[in-house]
Amino acid sequence: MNDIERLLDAAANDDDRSQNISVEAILQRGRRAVRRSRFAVVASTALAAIAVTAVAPPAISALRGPQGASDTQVAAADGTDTAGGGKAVPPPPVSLLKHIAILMRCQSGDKEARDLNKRYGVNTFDKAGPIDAKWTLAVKSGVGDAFTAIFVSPDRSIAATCHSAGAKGQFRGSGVVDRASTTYVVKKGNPHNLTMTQARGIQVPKGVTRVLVDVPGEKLAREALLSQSGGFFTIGWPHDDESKSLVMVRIRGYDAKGAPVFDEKAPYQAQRIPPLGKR
Amino acid sequence: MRRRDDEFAEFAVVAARRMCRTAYLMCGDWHRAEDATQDALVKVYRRWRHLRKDGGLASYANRAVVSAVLDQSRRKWRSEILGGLESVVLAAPDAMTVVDTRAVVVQALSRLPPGQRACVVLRYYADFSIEQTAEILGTGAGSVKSQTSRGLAELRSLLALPERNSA
Repeated sequence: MNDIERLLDAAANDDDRSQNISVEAILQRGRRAVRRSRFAVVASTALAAIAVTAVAPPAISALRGPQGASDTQVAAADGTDTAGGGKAVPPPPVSLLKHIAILMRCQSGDKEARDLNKRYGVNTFDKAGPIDAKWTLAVKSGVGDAFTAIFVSPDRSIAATCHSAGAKGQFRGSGVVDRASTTYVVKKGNPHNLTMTQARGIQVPKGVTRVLVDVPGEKLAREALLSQSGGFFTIGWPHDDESKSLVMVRIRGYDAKGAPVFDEKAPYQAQRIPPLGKR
Repeated sequence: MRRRDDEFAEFAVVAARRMCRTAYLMCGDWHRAEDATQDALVKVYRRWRHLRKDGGLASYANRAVVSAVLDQSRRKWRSEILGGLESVVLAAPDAMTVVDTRAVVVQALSRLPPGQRACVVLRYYADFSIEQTAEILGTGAGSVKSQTSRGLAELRSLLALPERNSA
């Protein structure tokens, strides 16, 4: 070691002071940065897909999986073919997590979703503000600490879907949130106009009592977990927080008499279609 | 994800102190050095998988911390740090205490142009080779050699040290 090296070494000596670098804080910042970049990727993917399918307005969170329901959900069918639509895989289980526990895990993701909308100037109709205890938890499905939940704003104009793969996931239990309008019409039709929530595959029109979701490559349709009112539904919780490819699923709705009243396709992200054996 | 975090945390605990010291020699302020180190480690975290897979971790981490310091130096409070050291009287190091040594050496470094300062710190404190320093600074080996040589000569002059053939 020469004289310059010795001097630099002495000058950099910090033995007399404590270091104020928190690895945990760095990890948190790093996770946020990674998450933001993933959101940006999802946003651009969503915009591109919307442009191609021409079924939705510019909406950042358009393609992020199942949403929809109101108040208390019910398992609409048991896998038999007594109802309209034929045999189906039973619906996913209701999550045992408390309303408040789910809400707390979704608030930061909700802020990111609103910030993203603001930054890109989209979903300007969304005036419902942040999700809080005044929002209704319409439907919740999951096992352990992984869940999919749908919150509905007090004025029922916005549905916010929150997904989490749980503590084992990339976001360590923090939910990823999509917000969609329940009234914004993205495609006019007869007898139903298609709203944003319906186009995203989280809500069916009034009168639907059974929802079946056909996933490509699966022989049997999946029975959705349907809310008691509002027509919000889900086929389960994400098995991974990592964004994967989009899968176009077919959503069929039947009324109490078994008559088909709804039939649309919607894009789901693959990680939000739980493997059948793990539901 | 958890494994990635554990691996990164293990790296960060070890690397942070050295990176912070390098940043301190570059900027002369421990708080700024800590900020620069944290900024740099966040960058490392974001590229962790690629760096683990493709190598170049130490090089990237040092490049990130040098960039962070240089970015900081472009901000408005740069003058506060250097100005605060102006009153320190330069003296021959053999008569100084540890605290004196730190202040005098850091002040002398602060008088070097940023490129020369980075070369001297990376070569003579961080112990990088000419090629590694060139890679970190995004410049050529020839430039590193010449800037190191000029920086050393200036530093010796400021510290009243005898000339040596140490470049």
